[in-house]
Amino acid sequence: MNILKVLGLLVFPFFVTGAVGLFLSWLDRKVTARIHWRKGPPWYQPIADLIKLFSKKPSEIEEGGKFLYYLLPALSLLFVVVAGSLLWGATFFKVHFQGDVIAVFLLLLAPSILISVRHYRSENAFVSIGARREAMLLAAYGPPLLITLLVAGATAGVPCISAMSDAGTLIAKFPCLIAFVVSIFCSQALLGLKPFDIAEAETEIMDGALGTYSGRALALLYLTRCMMLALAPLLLVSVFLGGLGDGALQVLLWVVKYLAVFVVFVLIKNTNPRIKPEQAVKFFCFGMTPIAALMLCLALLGL
Amino acid sequence: MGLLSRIKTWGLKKSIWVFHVNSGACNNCDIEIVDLLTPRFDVERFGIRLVGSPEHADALLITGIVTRQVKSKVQEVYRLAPKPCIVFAIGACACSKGIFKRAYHAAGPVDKVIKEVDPDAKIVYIPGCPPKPEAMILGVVKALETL
Repeated sequence: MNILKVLGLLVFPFFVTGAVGLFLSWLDRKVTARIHWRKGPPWYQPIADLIKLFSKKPSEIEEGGKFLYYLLPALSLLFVVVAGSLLWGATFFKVHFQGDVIAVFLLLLAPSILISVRHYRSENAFVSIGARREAMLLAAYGPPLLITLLVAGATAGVPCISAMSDAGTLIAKFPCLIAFVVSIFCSQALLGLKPFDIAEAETEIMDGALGTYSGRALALLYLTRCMMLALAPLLLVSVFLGGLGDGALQVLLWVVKYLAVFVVFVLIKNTNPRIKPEQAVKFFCFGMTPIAALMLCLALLGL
Repeated sequence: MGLLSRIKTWGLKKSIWVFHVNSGACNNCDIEIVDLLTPRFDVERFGIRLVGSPEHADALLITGIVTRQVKSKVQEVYRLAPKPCIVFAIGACACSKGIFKRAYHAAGPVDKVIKEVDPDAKIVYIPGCPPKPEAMILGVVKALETL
């Protein structure tokens, strides 16, 4: 059983998160297309994109050389794979440790932190602005997202993903319900989706820091982004909506919950325009953070 | 052709990310390019997607005569795009300078400007003032046949 667990923890993070991420990336584009009354891309589109990107060489490498150019995408992917390992491990194998939800939170934030640090002082104005916006957004949505996870931890009694999953549907309690709504907005910013895609604003700052990457490095970042698409809803479902139960019906219900959270992300993305950086900061610092803090107080009081 | 090459070619044919460059157009061709993304034509069905950076692009959609001021920028954009990169000269101006043939400010047409930096560049001509979206889709199909 231990060997199976270890194999599961090695295989799941990469292949399953990758496969689910690529599927959700297609679903995102398909749902977006249907909202626009378009047909949308075929199911194999993300696979074709990934193969194409891996088969292309980067146009030119500036600032720091080849090693640093590939290091950031590789590290980003590694951190997200480890986050996937913890999340899938907690969901399927009940592998856990005290405070693993905090570890997952930090690992999911790692790609944004790396991009901000690496490109903060880039000579390319668009890249530098993108990195600064990423850092600013990170400082804005990070604290409320962490607090919402702590709300669930306080309600479940322990900040551990398995314990929260076993505690059942936490959103039945008022503080967790509000924390869940706050965490959806924070996850939207974490994934860089509209209305919080200010760090990559294509038509404004030409994809920001991502604009310097092409070929295989971009393929790694593309895969990282797809995996994040798979893990953000998984984190919210595991923490707030309960884990996998026993029996086919329970598993089906879990899948429906997972896809429903993801479709909510896509709907928010498609019904909101991109907001200004200062609006995003105000929204999180003066709106979401106080609400999340209040819910944490209520949860600690046992309400 | 080996299996790996066939997979690579399949990826290139099924996923074309385009970057739009206005090099001095009147905006008419640009409007027709945007038409391609609308529900009526929906080129995302074929894996075609507009991207925000030339470094992500597999194809450049260049409209306009290429003015003297913008010539070096167009060449820089082409240099930044990872190869293979197909250049689409969209509209009469981009193909042959159109009515601006003898204008003082024209450095184009597109093929001349791009071939200064890469003599082997693949260039697809889509004439018209402006060309219809159907013509652009036909141009893309013909370009893909060369891959």
